[in-house]
Amino acid sequence: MKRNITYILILSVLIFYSCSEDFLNTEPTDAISNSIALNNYTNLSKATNGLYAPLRSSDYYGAYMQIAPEVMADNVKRSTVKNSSRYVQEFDLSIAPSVGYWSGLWELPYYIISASNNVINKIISGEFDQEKASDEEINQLLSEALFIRALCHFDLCRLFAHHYTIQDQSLAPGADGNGGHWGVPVITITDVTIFPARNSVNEVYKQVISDLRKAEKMVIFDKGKNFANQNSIRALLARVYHYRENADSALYYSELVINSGEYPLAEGEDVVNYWVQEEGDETIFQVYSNSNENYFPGNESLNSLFNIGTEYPYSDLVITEELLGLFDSSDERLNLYERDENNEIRTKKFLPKESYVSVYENNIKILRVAEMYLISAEANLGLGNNDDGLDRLNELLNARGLPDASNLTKSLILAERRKELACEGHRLFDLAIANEDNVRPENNATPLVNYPGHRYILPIPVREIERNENITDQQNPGY
Amino acid sequence: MKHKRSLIFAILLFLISQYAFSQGLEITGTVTNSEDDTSLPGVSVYVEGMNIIGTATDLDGKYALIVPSSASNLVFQSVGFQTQVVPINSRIVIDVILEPEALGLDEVIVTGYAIQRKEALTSSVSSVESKNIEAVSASNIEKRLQGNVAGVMTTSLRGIPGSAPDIQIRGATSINAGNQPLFVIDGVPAVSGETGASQSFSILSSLNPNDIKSMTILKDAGAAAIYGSRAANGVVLIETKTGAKGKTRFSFSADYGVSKVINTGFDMLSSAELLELQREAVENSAEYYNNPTKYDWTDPNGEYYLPDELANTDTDWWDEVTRTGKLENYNLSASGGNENTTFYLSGSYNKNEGAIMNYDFERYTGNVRLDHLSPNEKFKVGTKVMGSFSKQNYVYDASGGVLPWENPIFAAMAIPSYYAPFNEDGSVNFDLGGAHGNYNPHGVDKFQDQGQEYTKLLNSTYLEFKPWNFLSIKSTFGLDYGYTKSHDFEDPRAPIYAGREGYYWEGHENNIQMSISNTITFNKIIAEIHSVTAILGQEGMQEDYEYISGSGKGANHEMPYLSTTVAEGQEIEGNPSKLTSNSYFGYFSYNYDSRYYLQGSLRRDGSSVFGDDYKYGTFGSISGSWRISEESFFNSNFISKLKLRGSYGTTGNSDIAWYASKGYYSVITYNGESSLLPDKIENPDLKWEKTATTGIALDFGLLKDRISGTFEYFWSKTTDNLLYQELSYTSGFSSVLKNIGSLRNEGLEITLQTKNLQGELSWNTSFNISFPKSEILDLAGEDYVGTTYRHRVGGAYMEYWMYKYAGVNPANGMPMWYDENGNLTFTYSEASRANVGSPEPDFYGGLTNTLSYKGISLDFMFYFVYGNEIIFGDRHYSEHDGASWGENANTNQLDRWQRPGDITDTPKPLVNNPTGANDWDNSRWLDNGSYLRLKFVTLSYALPKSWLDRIKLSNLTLFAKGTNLLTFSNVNGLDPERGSTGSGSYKYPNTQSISFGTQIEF
Repeated sequence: MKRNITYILILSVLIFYSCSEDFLNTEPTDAISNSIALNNYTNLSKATNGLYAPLRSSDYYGAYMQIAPEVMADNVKRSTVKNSSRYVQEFDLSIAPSVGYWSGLWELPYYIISASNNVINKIISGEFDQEKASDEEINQLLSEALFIRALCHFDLCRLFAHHYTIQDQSLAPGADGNGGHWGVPVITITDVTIFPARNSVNEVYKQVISDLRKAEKMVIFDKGKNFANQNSIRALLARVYHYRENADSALYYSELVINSGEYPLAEGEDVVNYWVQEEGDETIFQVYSNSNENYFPGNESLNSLFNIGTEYPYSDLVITEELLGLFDSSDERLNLYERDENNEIRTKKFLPKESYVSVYENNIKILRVAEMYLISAEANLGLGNNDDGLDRLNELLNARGLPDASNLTKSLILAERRKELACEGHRLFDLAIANEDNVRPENNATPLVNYPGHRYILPIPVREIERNENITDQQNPGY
Repeated sequence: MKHKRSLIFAILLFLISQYAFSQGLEITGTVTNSEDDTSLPGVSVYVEGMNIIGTATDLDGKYALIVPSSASNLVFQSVGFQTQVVPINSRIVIDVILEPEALGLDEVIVTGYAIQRKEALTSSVSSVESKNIEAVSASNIEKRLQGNVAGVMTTSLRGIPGSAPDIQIRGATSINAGNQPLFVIDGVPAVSGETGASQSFSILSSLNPNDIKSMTILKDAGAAAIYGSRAANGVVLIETKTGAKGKTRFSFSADYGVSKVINTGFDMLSSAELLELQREAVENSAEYYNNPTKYDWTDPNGEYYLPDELANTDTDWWDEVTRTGKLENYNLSASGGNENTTFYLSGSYNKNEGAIMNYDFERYTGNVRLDHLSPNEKFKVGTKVMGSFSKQNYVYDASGGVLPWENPIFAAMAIPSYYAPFNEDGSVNFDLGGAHGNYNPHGVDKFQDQGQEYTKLLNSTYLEFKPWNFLSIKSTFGLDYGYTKSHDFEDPRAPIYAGREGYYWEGHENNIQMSISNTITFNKIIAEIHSVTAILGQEGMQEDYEYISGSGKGANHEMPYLSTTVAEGQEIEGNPSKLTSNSYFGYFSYNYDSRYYLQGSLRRDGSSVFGDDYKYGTFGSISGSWRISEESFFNSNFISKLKLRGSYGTTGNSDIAWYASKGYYSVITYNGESSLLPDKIENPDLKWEKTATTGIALDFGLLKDRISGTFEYFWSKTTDNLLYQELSYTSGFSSVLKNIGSLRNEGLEITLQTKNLQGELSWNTSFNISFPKSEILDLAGEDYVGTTYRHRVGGAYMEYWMYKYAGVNPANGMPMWYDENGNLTFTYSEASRANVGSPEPDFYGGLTNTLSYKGISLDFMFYFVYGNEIIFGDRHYSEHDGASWGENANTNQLDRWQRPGDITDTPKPLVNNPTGANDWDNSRWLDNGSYLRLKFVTLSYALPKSWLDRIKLSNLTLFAKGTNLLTFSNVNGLDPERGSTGSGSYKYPNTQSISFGTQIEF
């Protein structure tokens, strides 16, 4: 009997061995739980670094962001020989809200905004272990995240909302010539229970400018062109003010960048060579491209769509005859174009970079100093400083092997922008800013879109319209 | 002193007992087994009506019992044997031969943590006879369940050796979480599902089916609730064989067979037929595209030149990829033991050479089981170690939704018969005119090596302590270890792989599950009529999974492995993860006088996959039964058994991603630096999917159980369904997993058993049929529309959502569809989608017959399914109407429209057909999935005892068995068995096989 009881006692210990509370708390080992992910400087620093990677996705700067504004306008068209059905709707301007690649262009920037918000709000809250980092190092992270949040909000706004000065309320409800019309939702916290309505364009610009100006003051370090530094923030400010048609500020920031002296214009053969360099002189900010890293666009990349050859499966995009016809024979930039075996025009802006492993690798140029010269010229013109403006334009023209222009006009600058920035995702926006019609002689489906018109912007993807009850009634008119 | 007193006491007792029965009569005898004449130990022998006067046979099957003179009959009872009531008739020596129970496991049934007598069941529990498990030739045990049990739908999309079927017990309860049952082997929840890169290797195929004693299926919550959070899809309990005391018995069996794929009426076009079709397509195109110059098959310089010479070669690519499969099985076992210790040992080898090239399966197993009872009968310990090593060769039939050219079935349906498989010098012909990427299946066979190896170790060890007869305390420790190594090598010598530059990939998966369960069982009969069982227990489990893979370029046929030669483009991936659970449970059963039964169970389950505040869930059941036929008022010669039972219970489903409730950052790389990005948004409120089931049943037996059966009806409702709720993308995320939605399953299940003939020639029949019905009740506003499927409120669990095809216009041969308004249209983009059917059958079931005469026995089972729709996705390719120009087509294309007035569903062919006629989501591809199949036939002959005695064998049986020999179906494809979703493309069909073998025991 006694022995029985002893055994029972021993077994009872076994039976009522209770798993400690921690037993059911498992954590993934290749990932870090949200609750602890940003709790120290090391992780905050990694989470800031991570913000750059999705910029190179084919949904964003890796392809679509640069291609759509070009193929929807007059610089780029679809090959008649190589056809993988990519960008058909964009080229024909037959975009329907229900289908299409561009939905990623709505989803991905908001994803990056959400990731940026996590970093920004964590740093502002101060609830993390600073470890051995200095306040400057913390501020550096904050300013990089603010830069990326601003970039994404700005891009969403120019893609899905009409130009700042539009007045046609039937196209842009709320339009007052001063950004009062529908913009895009401004998101500054991550909260899945929020289904936001559209903010006005003016409100979006306010947020973007506020983020960038905060960032500009706090940034200290220069981590190379693959990361934001003070000049990239200023260059983006210049671009944003240019879009907002605030010539004073556009001039101020573009001149700050040019005068930093860090970005000499390429000349001679370098005008072509620049495009395959790891960190070309003209680059203010780029996204690093490497086939082993996340969000690498692979065969959906710019390289894959613009180049032809056995190593490229798609090759759908070629240059319009009209664009090529604009270049003077002495223009170094003419060397960026050549005819392929099918007599179609190919650009050399998206060749594999010098150190490539995969042919799809090329660092993606997001801000280039040439744009600063053009912004400065236009801002000067707007402010009546024609001579200063002409100087800036001529510096650019000379670098490209061209003689001085004698007279500065809006149309001259627009034409120069077209030639300089072709294929880089500017053209449709440039037309809208200039209130110019979109004339497309090389497209049969939609050869002309008058400004203003709904085809200057994209429809909000149908999924957002259906899922977000506060946006349901806010589809861009015309779609 | 103390000893002396005991002795006196014992003598006294002896005297009293002698006195008490001195007026009785001592009867002695031996009990033997009718099957092999061996003596049967442990048989209870008692006086009918006075079961306190009883004994049990000893090791030699002998008994001695003093019975009162008033006794008239003796009862002989033993588990697994038919009970015999023998009149005493004043005899003093009564030898009895017990017949094994016809239904093998009928006496008792393991129902989770308890063991019950079958008549005591209050919930829905069915077992599969081991005979039926052994009758089917399939390398894996899960496939052998088909047709045996009402309410259990087993259907295989793939016939690949080693692959697993979909098993749905009483329907699918979940839209997003898993729908497969929980498998429990010898009391330990087992790791199941698929492993490795092949997507067609079932973890349970590593078990030796010959080691399995029984499979029991807990169908309703009344029985399964004791398994709590993992039991929503039912539980399959597998008991493995144990030793029995007595002389050591050896058993050896071997069989050998051949197999081929099931083909109910599928064929590809010959060269002549294809040429005619293509020429017609070119002619049609000249008119359709209004370009007679371009579309001219007679022009030798034209793009579509189709000379007669093309038909000079006529290769049947289906013949090229199929072959006669070979099956081999060898199994050796030994079992035995003494009063205290028993053992069971076995080893086996199984080889299954696939009926399609590139597919093979091989398995080696070993198994040791030891059980020991301490001499004081208070301690029982046992351990089991099952080890196995399996190898599978395969080809991806699909990877990530993409159909690879390597798939031989794809190749056979795509490559035109114009091309010869081999060049004249015997080398593989890689010039197929570019068709199918020149992926000649012989080239894949020779130059690509995909395979995987699986090593399994299954151990469970228990210690049971019985301080008193009414109490037992048991601890069981389980270890389930699996290691999978998969590889893929593409030999750069083949032109099709040259561009891959010697690609080699290898993946390693390690999975270790450890579990411990502890139970206290109380068991007592009070005042002879109150029988009480109560169990309290606890169970903890931890599963660790690790994965690592590496790949690179530079391997060659001399060094086809991951070595330093694979230096270029190296990639490495890895990911360890962990799942834990902890549970407490209780079970209670009570019966009054074997007439009224009541059972209840309660389980509190905690799992790491759920949100912090919802880790624990509580599940329970209550069930009862009334054995009407045991009532004294019940007196019927016609109805021999009548029992009414009912149950209600709740179970859970936690079969979702291990970190489903967590939000986390993933490690990524930017600019060569380790970085972090949000991966998933958390849902800290994530909890179990819950299924509540109610069931009622009537068990009956007629004419002394010559006819018996069960009628059952169940209703189950799943709530808190784990579904993805879509979010505004502005949040940064597309969706979050939440507990929303609900669905219902209900069904009627009928099981009948008849003993048609008894005696020397015996004939038994068993039949089961199930009528399932599912309905989605709520999706919280989400309408789950896939490309081919749709989940909608009010619809069945799964429905096809396809463009409604309206056939071919007889005037011009063009395909037509119905548009939104139900009008005919020629324009595919105007076609409207509709719910056109469901993979859920109206009914399914099995019919098994067993005939035996002397040593000969014949068993066969028919399996049937009726009223479901299925899709052969490959018809989209092989009935392309010219859309996949340059590829072969199947013989359905012979029915094409050719001239005005032709009535057909196959439109006229056009070069690169742009009409959409062959698009994926055409209802044109729906087939009636009903079929009837002769699932198995086994004919065996056991040599007479008298012959065997001379050669000192206890059993020698010769047998022949056939699996899936006949299929009656009208489908437009190979095999109507299409898995639970009813569709797939280019899947290795199920196979039919015939094999011969022998079993020897001594």
